[in-house]
Amino acid sequence: MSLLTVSNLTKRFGDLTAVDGASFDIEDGEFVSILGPSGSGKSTILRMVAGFEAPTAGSMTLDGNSLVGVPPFERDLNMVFQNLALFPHLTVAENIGYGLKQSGVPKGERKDRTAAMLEMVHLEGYGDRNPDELSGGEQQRVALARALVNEPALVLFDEPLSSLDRKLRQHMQSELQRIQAETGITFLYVTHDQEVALSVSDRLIVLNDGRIEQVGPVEELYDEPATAFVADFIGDVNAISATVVERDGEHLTLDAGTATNLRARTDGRWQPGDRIDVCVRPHEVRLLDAVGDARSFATRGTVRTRSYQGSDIVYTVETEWGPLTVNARERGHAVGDEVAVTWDAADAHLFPAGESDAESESTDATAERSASESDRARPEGA
Amino acid sequence: MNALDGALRPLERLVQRHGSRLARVVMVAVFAFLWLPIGVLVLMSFAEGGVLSFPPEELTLRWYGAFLSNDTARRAIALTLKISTVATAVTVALSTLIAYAVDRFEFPGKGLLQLLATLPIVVPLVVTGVALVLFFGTINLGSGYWSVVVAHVVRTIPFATLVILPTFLTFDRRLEEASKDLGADELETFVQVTLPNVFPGILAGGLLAFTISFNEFVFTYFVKGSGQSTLPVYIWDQIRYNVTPEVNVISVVFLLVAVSMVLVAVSLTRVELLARR
Repeated sequence: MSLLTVSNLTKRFGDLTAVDGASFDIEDGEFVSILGPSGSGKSTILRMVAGFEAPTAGSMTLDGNSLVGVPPFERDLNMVFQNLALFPHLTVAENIGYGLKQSGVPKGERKDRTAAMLEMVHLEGYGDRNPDELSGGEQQRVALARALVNEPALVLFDEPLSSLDRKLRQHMQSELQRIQAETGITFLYVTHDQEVALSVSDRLIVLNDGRIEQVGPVEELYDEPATAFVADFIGDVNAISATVVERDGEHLTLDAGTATNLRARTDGRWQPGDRIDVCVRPHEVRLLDAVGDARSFATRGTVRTRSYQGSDIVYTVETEWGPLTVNARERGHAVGDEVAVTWDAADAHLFPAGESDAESESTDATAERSASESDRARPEGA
Repeated sequence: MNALDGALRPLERLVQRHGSRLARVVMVAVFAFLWLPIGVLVLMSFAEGGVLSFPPEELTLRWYGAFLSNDTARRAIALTLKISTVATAVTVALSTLIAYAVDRFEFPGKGLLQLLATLPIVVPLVVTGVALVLFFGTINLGSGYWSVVVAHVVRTIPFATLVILPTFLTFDRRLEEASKDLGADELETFVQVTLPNVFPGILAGGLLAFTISFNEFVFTYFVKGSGQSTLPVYIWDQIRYNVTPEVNVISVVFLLVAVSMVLVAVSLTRVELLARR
């Protein structure tokens, strides 16, 4: 039996439907992330699980017991808040021991367990300080220790790492994984940051506009996104709108309204005349010096931007299909160079056109992101 | 326009070059203006030769002794304390409720309530004083101890609310959620988390209310019963006939009460915490 079962969970605020029929299971000992853009309803789901919001409809069970109508202080779960919500009037040790005090643990045992927690999060000797005397990363550790000390069945995280700089965030991610492995407690982590979600989770729940788009292991979502939204949100993607011209078994010929047709290989049931979005990962796009190789397809383009990203170079190439983002190992191309681009017909992901509003913008957004010399890591390179 | 520019340019250059020095001079002047008279008053409370010789030729504690052995003065102090303590308690209770309501609930007239609670600061004291007399006359409360207490509550509520409300508004409600998440029920959360965090603000509001009530003269003079004198009224009665060094002594007592109260209040509002958020 699953540890947490959420079915048809719905939350409406007046006319606004924040969460629309969400269903998912979380197994004991898993590290699951709910990933979605801001406003997608992920925090609302978390707050319903924690007991701070009452669901409009649907059910939740923890360890087989219904959570609906159970006040937060009677749920066997603890939360790490986005702003951490450390008690400013209590010391670090008192913050960590707060949960134990509420459940009537005697003072001596409380002290021992608090000390053990401080040790687990590597904050030995910090017990007598005030939370505001600690750095951001140390405060995160205190909040984590406070949520773990009661040994709950489930710990919820509401984007607590988002305020940290990248180095520290990556460090805290691996700390989270270590601590989860040590304690065996189930973690449910909510974030809009795909980098965090991809690196720490066993499974992902991708949320868009209050609905669950896809649930699955990280690799599955990356390799076989169920929707254009997932393709775009988990890693970057180039999206091209096209119409199916011809179908020959698994091979599709697609017209993007340009001189050169695209090809794709798929077992999907597309018919001539279908309008679809072709999504290609930046690292699947290949740069060629010349258009050749009649078996594939390619088009010419001009390198518009080039940005160094460690092991990869990220180019934006202006083509007849629109600007394409390309992650390549070749360093030889400069801004203004003429290149040819292609990809393996089997690498393209095909989705019905207009399924998500996001993808028409996504090409631009991707291009912009690589154009601005951002130092953000691209998860596909990691 | 050009002529004006030309005239202003030297001034501008002066400000550019000596701005911070000028500002320091102005600041010293302002503070001297504020505090010199008070300093003189304190000094004169120790003057042997009475109020007329400045600077005093000899220093003495005689006037303090005279003040403390004066029955009328002691009664005035006792009455003032009796009024201020009760008025402060009532004010703190009401202001806290107003602040809690404004912070926690959405209700029609919320903005109006906030305005009505704090706006009386701008109404001239004499106007409200007259209004209070008329009002107490209409409801047959008459003059006396309770009229003064009510008047002091009216006077102090806006100030106490202005101090208490921000501590509620800046209190992070997620701390309450965190507390409940960790197993504390509503009451335990209020006692262990909410109260410790808003208490300094409530205390500061109370201290401010007490200081204002302790000093209050205008309302008191309007609504007090005959023969009742609070300390400010006592001073007024004294200086109407003759200025004695005893008045200086009372002023020093006031100063000590007021300054210490305000200092405690400021340190408890945790101004530095509010600024950080």
